[in-house]
Amino acid sequence: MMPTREKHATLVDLLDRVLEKGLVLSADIIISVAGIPLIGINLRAALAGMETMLKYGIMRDWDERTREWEREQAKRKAPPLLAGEQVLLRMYGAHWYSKGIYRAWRPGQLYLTNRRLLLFRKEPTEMLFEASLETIEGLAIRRETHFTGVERDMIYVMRSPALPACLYAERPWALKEAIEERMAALGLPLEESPSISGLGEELDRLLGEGEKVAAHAKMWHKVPPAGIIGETWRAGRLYLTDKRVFWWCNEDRKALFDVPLDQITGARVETRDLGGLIRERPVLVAFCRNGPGSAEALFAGDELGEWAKALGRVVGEMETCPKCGRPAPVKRLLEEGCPHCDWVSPRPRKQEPQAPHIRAR
Amino acid sequence: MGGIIDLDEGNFKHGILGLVIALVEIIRDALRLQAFRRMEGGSLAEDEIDRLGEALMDLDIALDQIKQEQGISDTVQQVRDGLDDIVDEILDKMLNPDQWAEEYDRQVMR
Repeated sequence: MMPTREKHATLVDLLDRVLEKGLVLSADIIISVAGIPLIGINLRAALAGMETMLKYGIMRDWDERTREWEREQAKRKAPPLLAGEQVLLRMYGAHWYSKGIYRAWRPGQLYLTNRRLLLFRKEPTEMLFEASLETIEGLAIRRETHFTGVERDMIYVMRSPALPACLYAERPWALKEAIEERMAALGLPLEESPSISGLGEELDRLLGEGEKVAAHAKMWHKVPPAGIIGETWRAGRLYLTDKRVFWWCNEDRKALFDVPLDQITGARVETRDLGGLIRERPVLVAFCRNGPGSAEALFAGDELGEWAKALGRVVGEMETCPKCGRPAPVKRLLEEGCPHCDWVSPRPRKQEPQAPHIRAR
Repeated sequence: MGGIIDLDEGNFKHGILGLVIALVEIIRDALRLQAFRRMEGGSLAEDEIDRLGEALMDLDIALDQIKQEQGISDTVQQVRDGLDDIVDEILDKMLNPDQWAEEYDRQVMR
């Protein structure tokens, strides 16, 4: 009986055999010049498949540690998915988190799955944002200036009754398209070009429950003196909502002028001397109640006439009670009397006989 | 030594790409055999085996895709056969010194 060799050994067979048995290289080298040793090389190398290495007890700890680390990573790597949920798109993203006084961008990985939109952070592990696709009503992208001065496209996810969620995504347009595509595949309706409240992220908390912005525009405002700073014109934005008028200061990132609509008594455009280089200039003067007296707030910007009209419409229906001086709707004052005190309008008595006639018209 | 890796002379790019993919395939095959060894060794957990299998399968799919897209399946096979022949021949000579003599005789006879 003769030993036989399997015909046609392949390169893979050769490699496998080498790795299985292991290869040990051991060399000692001395480099010398003029018979004087200068450099010594002591070489010990071993090449083998990991299973062979372990068999000889080499790198056993290392093997354990590597796998342990990978197990830990695997746990953190993926967000918890529901049964049957698949990740369709993944990218870097962040969510504008705003709750009470804590407001910040929270970065993580954005995942679009076949059922949800997720923002997941690995370390420390937390689901930063989660929206089931069924609850998404609209998507919008708006270019905003980041505080670093870079313009970025922000993606807004509309869900009611929650406020629109502001997300930063690495590729916002790709994300928007992918969500739209997936929602269309699920047969979920999506609002066509929905409107964002028009406010930046810091302003979200300024709006009350159900408060709607009617108009907003870039405006300069004469800010009353505060501390060591005297009266100054500062840049910002004027907002008219269905409940109040407020002016947002760009620099301070807060509303320095904030007045409920029923405290506004009037508004008109006047030409005022603004001092400094700008002499005569039209400004919007808003009159508002300030305790027993009245105060005026000055705004400068474009389309002041429109603003005066808009504010006029709002306050036109308000009047002060002739007795207590508190504001009340004109209609209410004329037809009944003051809701705050016992003052009664003389008109109901006077017009009583004519009432049927008015109704007939 | 007679083993010649015959690269498709008509398309050099195909040849180079075929060579690279062939080497990657050989490494993959070696890794796969080692993976089987480790699985049989019994030190791996269930999920580790799953992950390993999945990763190797992904590599298979990726390589197949590249081969199909570039139309180099034949070239890759050719290169691999060529390499295998060389290995076979070397091993044959190492293990069967008798053949050296035979070959030497043949050359002398010529």
